[in-house]
Amino acid sequence: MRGNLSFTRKTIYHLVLIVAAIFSILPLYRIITVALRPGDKIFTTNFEIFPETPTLENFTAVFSQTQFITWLANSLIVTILTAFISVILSATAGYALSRFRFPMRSGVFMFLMATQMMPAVMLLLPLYFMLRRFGLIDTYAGVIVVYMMTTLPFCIWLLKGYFDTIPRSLEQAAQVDGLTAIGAFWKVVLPLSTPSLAIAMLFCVTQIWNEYIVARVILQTAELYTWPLGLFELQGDFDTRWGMFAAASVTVTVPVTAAFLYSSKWLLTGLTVGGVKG
Amino acid sequence: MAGLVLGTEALLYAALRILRVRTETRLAFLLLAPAFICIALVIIYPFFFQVRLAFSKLNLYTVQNWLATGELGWAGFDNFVNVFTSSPLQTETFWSLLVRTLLWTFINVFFHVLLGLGLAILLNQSIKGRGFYRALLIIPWAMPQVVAILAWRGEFHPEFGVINQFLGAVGLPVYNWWSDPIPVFISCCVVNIWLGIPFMMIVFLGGLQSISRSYYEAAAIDGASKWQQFRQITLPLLQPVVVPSVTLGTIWTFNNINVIYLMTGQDGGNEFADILVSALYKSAFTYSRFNFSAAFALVIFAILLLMTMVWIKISRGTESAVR
Repeated sequence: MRGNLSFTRKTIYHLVLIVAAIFSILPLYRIITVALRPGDKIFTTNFEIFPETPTLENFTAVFSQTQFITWLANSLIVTILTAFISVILSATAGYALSRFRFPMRSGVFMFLMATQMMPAVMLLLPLYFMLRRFGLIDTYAGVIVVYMMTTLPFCIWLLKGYFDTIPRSLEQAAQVDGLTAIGAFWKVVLPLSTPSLAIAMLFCVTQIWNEYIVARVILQTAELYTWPLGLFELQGDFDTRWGMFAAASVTVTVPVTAAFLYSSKWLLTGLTVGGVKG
Repeated sequence: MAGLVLGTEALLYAALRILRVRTETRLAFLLLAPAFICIALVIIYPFFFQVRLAFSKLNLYTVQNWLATGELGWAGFDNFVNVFTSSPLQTETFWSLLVRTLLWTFINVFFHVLLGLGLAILLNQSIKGRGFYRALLIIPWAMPQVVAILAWRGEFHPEFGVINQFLGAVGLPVYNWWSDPIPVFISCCVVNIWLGIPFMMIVFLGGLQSISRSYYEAAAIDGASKWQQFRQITLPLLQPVVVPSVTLGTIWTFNNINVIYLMTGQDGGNEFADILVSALYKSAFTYSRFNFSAAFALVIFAILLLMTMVWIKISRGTESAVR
């Protein structure tokens, strides 16, 4: 398909791609320009490509007048804890599923696949009542427990797929050299798996960092909100806080989007390695 | 949590020693245990608890009594009957929600595949700035979803949003995208299609790049047109990529709740775009119909299970046909 294309053909391709690109950046462009606009010019009905009098007052307002920094910190705590716990637990379980033959092995694997079909909302009601019984509503632990429901099965599945690609002979050699089975896992297999461990962790981060639906049910006081909950508070129905909403959105979007674009190449190949061999 | 895991590990170890299980199997069970204790706590137990709730009388008025005494009550199959006879929301019925869910899933997956494949084919051509276009086109996937949805909600604002401004400027009729039944549903579809295209595009682009150029060269020598090459080479060789991504896309769309919940304005919003799972969420946490929602969840679960079984059957069929 890489032959020489005619000039008209090329022009059409470029036009289609440009229109598609405009559509795909429209919301990002919108929040950036609204965030930079002074308060009295937020509701403009004329198109202007870039605000004429850009200002950072919306950013200073969102950081000084709201609890946005607290919300960001909450999100960071919840995301990092869930990602670490999930990856540690799934590394051991994924390794066992990849290496050992034991009763019910395929049953366990089928079960993990089946849980992928279920959205968190499905079990949110019983989980909510369990957490209520144990007094975990409105705590970090409460949300982390619910998030594990989605991250754990996926990470096990992903890491099992990766461990399958590491030749067994490496561990056998290590065991001949005097390491125990656990030692071989810890000193040989895990260091070789850092890329896929990083991908599993990144997957957890992308799942949880933006999560709204579960957090909304479990976190109830504003001090414990994660940023998506706080952001919705700011949005309202196009009132004066629209500028602050945009500034907050830019703050969370720009670093995340940049990181995603930067890592997209190896992130996507990593996902397919685990997926195809799964 | 950590104490529970360690304690169980010790118990399990002792039990496996006593039962004289092979060392290798013992190790496997010990490695699996921590993850599976967690899975038991967050998936298996809640599932059975859900079944119990579906037969209970737990509602907003009896919940305090349950917290105090642990009494759930027994309602028989009443809750299941209610799922099919009364509305999970205010006016929408189970059947209208089911039809809308199927429509929603079909429309979204269809456009995800169509537009994703189209853009992937364009990005696979030898044109300038491919990397740049690719980076811009995956932004909907890279952006935090909540931000993207709320920003789109702003664009659909009847007065200040860019959509109506554009429609008005070119002389087309404007709609109230926030409160008229069909426009609300269309706006949710547009936003969800926008969100899902990059995933399909990237997956298909990977598939296209793995197809060897020599096939096309050979076909061109034999005089095949571009369309014939697409039909006879691209589509069949892309099939291994298309089948899993369409499956995943169907499940994600069927279970998607973010877009609809945030676009229609949360609790106080309308229900013109609600599908089964978003209605489940609202009936449980907006209207606090606890026992009803548990039964409703089991019904949705049964639908998902049925879909999966049909899909496994179909995919096994195609697999054996290919071999």
